[in-house]
Parts: sequence; structure tokens; C-alpha cells
Amino acid sequence: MLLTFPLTDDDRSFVEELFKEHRALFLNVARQILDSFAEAEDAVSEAMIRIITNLDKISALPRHKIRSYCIVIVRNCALARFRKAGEIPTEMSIAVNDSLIQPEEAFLEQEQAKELQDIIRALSREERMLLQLRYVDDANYKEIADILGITEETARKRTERILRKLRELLKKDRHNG
Amino acid sequence: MDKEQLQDSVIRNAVNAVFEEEVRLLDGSADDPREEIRLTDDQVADLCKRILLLREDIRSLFFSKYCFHLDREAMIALLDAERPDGRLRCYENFLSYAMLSDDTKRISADSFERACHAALQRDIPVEEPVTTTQKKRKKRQKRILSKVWKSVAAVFIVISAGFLLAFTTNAEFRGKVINWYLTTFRQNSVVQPETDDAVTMEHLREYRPSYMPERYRLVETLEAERWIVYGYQDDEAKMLDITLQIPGVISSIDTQGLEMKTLLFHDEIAYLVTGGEGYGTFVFSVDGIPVLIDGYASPEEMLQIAEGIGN
Repeated sequence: MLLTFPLTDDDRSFVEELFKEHRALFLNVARQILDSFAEAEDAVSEAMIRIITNLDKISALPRHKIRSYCIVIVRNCALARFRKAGEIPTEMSIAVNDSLIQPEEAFLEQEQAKELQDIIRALSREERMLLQLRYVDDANYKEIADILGITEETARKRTERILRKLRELLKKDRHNG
Repeated sequence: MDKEQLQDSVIRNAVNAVFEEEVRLLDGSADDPREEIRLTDDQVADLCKRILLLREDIRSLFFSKYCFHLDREAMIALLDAERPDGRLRCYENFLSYAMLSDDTKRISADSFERACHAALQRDIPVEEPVTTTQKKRKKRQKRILSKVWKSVAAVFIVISAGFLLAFTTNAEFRGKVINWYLTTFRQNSVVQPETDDAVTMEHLREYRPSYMPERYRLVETLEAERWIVYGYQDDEAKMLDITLQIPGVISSIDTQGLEMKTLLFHDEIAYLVTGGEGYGTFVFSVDGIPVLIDGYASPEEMLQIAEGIGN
């Protein structure tokens, strides 16, 4: 794989040295995220391709920092594979893509989504942060509490309060629709 | 899926849409005019903890910017990050508000840099050997010498039964490869050899050492469920062990104050630990069988011993 890229001799030996020296470590990092060797190896290969194709950026780093940054790249590749493998279509996308859904219903759902987004935009910064941690970052209440510097109980109560508010709105819209 | 789950999914989509919108807005925005606040040491330590709790891809962006000083293009190319500047700004604002509770202020770049350096040190595996004093080394050697053969075996922690498949012939078995998983801690390193191929105790028994430096004599052979140890001793009571094991067995190697090198042995990854005043460890594989040589021998002798296993 390494030889298929048009590299200078110096670049090639740099990449080979990097790979030989840290292959086990890279695999170990990827394996901590992924279930199988094959997946971990694929993630490391993907990371190596990224490194090779962006060698100018990597080799510009101080020597002692290269290994650390390569680990960051390997972990990122492994994580992307992990997320991709576990990707489950959301209920909303199923609903929108479902051919059985009536056009009026799809329109109502889109309107409802827009309204919901408006309400989220109007929330306080702290409330939006709670939702972001919960739904964008998939953090649990303990993690939310530690990141925001509040107690777990407070994080849970505040999040539930916002969600109750949003669910009420959805319920109301359904009845109206 | 019940009604509540459906509602939850709709809310999730809306939250994500609003978040991505914010990322888009921040991605091309001008410099932040808000007042910069330099954090105290304690606050930096607190920020470091919070950064470590963020999602890994977000941590990678923080490290890229503050530890490696990479630009937007590099982050896109190396991390496949979408709108990295906007995403980072979003989380910088987030952490600033979480710590300062004031929308008109933000954490200074140098505070983020200090926190990210500390976080990176804790987040990325440490591989460099930790140096110890001569005194500690001597103490350690004494401890090694006083070990009885059976206690040597105690470092092998059986984690999984794994690979107890049917016996295959030696001819089929040759050419199998091993994947090593190495984790280095402050005092020791843990190596875990794994393979998708079947290795049995019968295989291990076929791979006896054929070369040994003249000063050593075989004093004991220990066989357990998943490994075989050949124990050698010289006239000065210095020991050398050769351990053949079934993949999946995790071994702990004392690497404190020693130097570990990764090298290729017959085109396979191997680890050589040296620097212990004549004491060292060589971890490698022969035809898919993980082998550890551990004891008083020079690197050259270890390589010769390794060459002789199975011949």
C-alpha cells in the first residue's frame, strides 16, 4: 500500500519508519474503539493514507509531536468507522423517506420541525447546551454534569424540564394538525 | 417504536439542525471581539478535565489547533472534519460559558492551549520509557533474582480461552501471523498477541528452544493450560525464561527504566526491551506462536535463541 503513492525516497522512508515503529500502537488505539482486528487494520490503513497524502502537513510538525498527532488521526478514523457501522436511520428520516407517507403529512412534519427548531433557538444558552450535550454529543447525565459543572441531578432535572416543554409542543401540534 | 421515542427522534433531529446551523455561522465568522479571560492554574486543570469529557472527534480538533497548531485545511484533510473552525468555536464558546457564566467573556487562547497540552498528555498513550535511579534498578534486579520459577509464571494473566480449535498440522500452521497489542504503563508494558488462527498446546510443544548460550542449563519446564515456560539458570543463579504461549494470553513485562524498541523479526513485529544491566526481554512470534525470552542475555544472544526456536 505504501509504495503506490508517488513519494520521494525520503518521504517513503519517513512513512515506513513511522509505520514500522508505531504500527502496534496504532492498531492498539484503533482496537480500543473497534471490535475486530480487520476493522482496526482498515482504520489504521485509512489513517496512513491520510498521512501519506498530507505528508507536507505532518512532516512540518516537530518530530516529537508526529507520533501523538498520528494517534489522533488513527483514533479519528477508527471512530468514524465505528459510527458508520452503528449508523441507524433516525425515525424522522424513515418517516420522510417512506413512500407510504401522504404529502400533507410530510408537509406538516416539516413545518413542525421548523417550529421546533425556532423554539430551540429561543432557549437560553444553558438550555441549548444541555440539549446539545444530550442529543449532539450523546452524553449521559453524569458527563453533562461534569462538563457543565453542575450536579447530575440538576442536569437530569433541567434536561427533562426542557424536553417536557418540547414534547408538549409536539403533542399540541399533533392535536391541532 | 412508541410515541415518546418518535418524539425524541424528532427533537434530536431539530437539536442537530440548530447545532449545525450555529457551526455554519461560526465557521466563516470574524475574530471574536469578546473580552479574553486568562484562567488560573486551577481553572486550567478544570478546563482540561472538561475537554477530556468531550467527544473524541471534538477533542481531536482542540488538540489539532492548540497542541499541533494545524490550520483549517490540515484538519479537513487529516481528520475529515467538516467546518472545523465553526465546530471548534462552538465548543470554545460552550466551554467559556460553562466556566465563566458570562456571554460577554471568553477563555483566552493561551488558557485553552495549556489545558489542551495537559489533556493531550492524559489522552494519548505514553510510550517513552520512564528512567529510574541506579538504586531502583539494583533493587529490581535483586527482586528478579529472588523469584522462584513458579512466580515467574504469575505474570501471565489468562484473559481468554480463545482459539481452542481443532489441531491443525504443523505444515498448515507455518506462515501464520500474529497481531501484537501493546500498552505501556509507567511501570510495565502489557502485550497481547492475537491471531485469527488456531494455536493449540500441541503446537507449542513442537517449538522447543534448540540454541542456548553455554552458561545456561535447563532447570525446569513448566506447562500450564495456555503456556509453556522453559526455565534456565547459570552458575551465578541468573535466570532466563523462554515462554511459548497461546495467542490471547496477556503478558506483563517490566519496562520501568528500560528501553523498548519495536523491530522486525522474520518480517513480523517484535519488541526488544534492554537497558537492565544485562537483563532484557524479547517478545516475538514464530509461525504464529507468541514467544517471550526474559532474562540475563545480550540482545545478540536473545536473537540467536529466538532463531533457534522450532528448528
